[in-house]
Amino acid sequence: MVFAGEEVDERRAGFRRDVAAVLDDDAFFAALTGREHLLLTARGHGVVAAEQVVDAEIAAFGLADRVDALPSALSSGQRRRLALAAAFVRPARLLLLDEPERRLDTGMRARLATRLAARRDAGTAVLFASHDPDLVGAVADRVLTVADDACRLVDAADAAALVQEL
Amino acid sequence: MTADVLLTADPRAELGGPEVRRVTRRATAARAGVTLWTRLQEVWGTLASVGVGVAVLGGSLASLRERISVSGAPVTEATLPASAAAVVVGVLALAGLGVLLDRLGPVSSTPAAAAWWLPLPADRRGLLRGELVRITAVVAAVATVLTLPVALGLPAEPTPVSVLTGLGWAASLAAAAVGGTALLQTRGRGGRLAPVAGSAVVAVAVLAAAAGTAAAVGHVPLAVPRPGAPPAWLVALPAAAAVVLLLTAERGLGRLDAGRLRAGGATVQYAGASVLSLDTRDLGRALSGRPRPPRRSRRFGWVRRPEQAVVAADLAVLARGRWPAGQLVVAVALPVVVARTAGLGALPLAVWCACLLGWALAAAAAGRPGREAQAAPVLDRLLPLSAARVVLARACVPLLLTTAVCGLTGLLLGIGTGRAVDWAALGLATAPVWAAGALRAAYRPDPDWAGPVVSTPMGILPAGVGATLVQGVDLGVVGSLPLLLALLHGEPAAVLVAVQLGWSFALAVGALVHLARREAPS
Repeated sequence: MVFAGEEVDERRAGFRRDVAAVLDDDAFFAALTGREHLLLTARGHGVVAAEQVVDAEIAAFGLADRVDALPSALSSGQRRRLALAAAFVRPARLLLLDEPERRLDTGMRARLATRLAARRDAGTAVLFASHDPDLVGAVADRVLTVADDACRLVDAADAAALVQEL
Repeated sequence: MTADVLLTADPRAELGGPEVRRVTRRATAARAGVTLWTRLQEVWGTLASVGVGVAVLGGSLASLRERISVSGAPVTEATLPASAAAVVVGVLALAGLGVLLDRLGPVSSTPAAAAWWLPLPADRRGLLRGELVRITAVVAAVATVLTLPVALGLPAEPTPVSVLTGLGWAASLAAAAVGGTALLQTRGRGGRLAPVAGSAVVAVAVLAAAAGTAAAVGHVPLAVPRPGAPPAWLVALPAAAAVVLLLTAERGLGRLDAGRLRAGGATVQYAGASVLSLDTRDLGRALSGRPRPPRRSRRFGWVRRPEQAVVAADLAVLARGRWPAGQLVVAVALPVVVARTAGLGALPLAVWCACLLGWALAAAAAGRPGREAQAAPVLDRLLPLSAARVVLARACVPLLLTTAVCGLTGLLLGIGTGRAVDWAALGLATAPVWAAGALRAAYRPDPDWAGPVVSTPMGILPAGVGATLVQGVDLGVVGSLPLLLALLHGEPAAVLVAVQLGWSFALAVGALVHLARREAPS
């Protein structure tokens, strides 16, 4: 597998700098607040004006009231939003997301779709797995449908319809 | 959702590995609410507990040495020098440490660190260096504490130099073990040390037992050169090896990939939770690793009845386990080595304890299919068998194995005494109770934390949990009491063999009936 002309190897700092992933992990440092997790990520990536960036993402993901709580005091939906926010407080050339719509309410899903589409339009590649037709329709340019019998490359509108039928 | 802050990053401002650790540590410490006074109290409490433990163990070892010095004739012909047994124990300890480190990483990342540290561009070497230092310090400290009672209690006249030298060897070898396993991990060869270490233990134990038995056949004690105590400066060699191994391993930490670090961290977490909950059965599951992949599927052509299906499945589980064969061999060799060692062999209680230890190991190996069935009972329920009959069918394989182990142990203990067959019969007579013990341990309920607690100098002991944990071994210990009488008597009298067989059989039947009733749906 190749990324930007080089073999994929997450041990390279350059690869980690370029790729932000939000997979199925629900793991947090027990004694760090949500804000500290985000600041660690932003500062770890050398983000300029890290505190403002983090504050903006906290507001964008609707975490302002709970971001200074420890992860154990957050609901699973809030922890999911925190994990997603971590992908937005740092620059990336590729956003890798595993079912980002999970545990989000309808409004937050729509706003996330808008944000992802904006990132895509700004030049960030977004690779995601999803069962949400709205998210697929709003963000995807090309869709690979994965079925038991075959995998097919389809355009986004067809894919959204296919997902709807599932 | 809007976030209109321009996102730019300066690679020169990125946090390095040590800085990431520091930032996390400071944030954690700021919230810990731990004062200097609390820390001092914790340190004092730990030191007091360790001190009590060291004093008790050291006293026990000193008492053992004195009893050896005034003991009478050995139970069976003792042909091995004490140094041979010491080598076996040393190899056993080092191999055990090696297996543990190899299974746990030794360098790993907790799920939180894997999710929040490893994706950062921070240099992985700097990020993981602290982990390597922490593991080395913990392992060296534990090795030092465990060696202290031995260094104080075993020599007739311990001196400060001899004690410090012993501790130096322990700490250096432990640090070298960490360095060696970490080096293998960084070279992509993690997970390969455990089989080598296990094989080394089997080889050394078999060699010592075979040498002792062979010498007993010829009635000639084994002549082993006595080099005397090594000079104190020699401890510099393992210390130097540890430094070289650790430094080389540290240079390769950047090669460790996130997937393996995360997997190691998950194993550490599973094993840690098992230790905290005192669940040795779960700890075994955490550390045993995956079964050996089969070359081909079995056809089970001889299986005609559901009971045979249970036996066939149990045999397949044992055959695919990585450890049972070695465990069974060591289970035979251990009592033989103790009984053949000059000094230890003259203490019937020591020989009996070695038999218990070896046979408990055999029961643990034989109980593996039972433990797996207890964890996933759905497979048993596919068969047209009542829960009670499943338990009875599952006793077949453990009985077969404990019969082989206990009988062979008895035979080897008896060689040179002129009554090898009688000793073998005595060993065989204990087999039923150890087979039942294997099943009792496999099917024991989860630890009961709601039970009463007992206050001890070492802290609070949950009696309910203790009562659950000893299930299985308790049956074997009680069932082997006639063997102790025979060892104290010095010979396996026919009446003692008969008593052993009757006692063992009665306990085994009682335990299996109890187990069958407990497993049956009410």
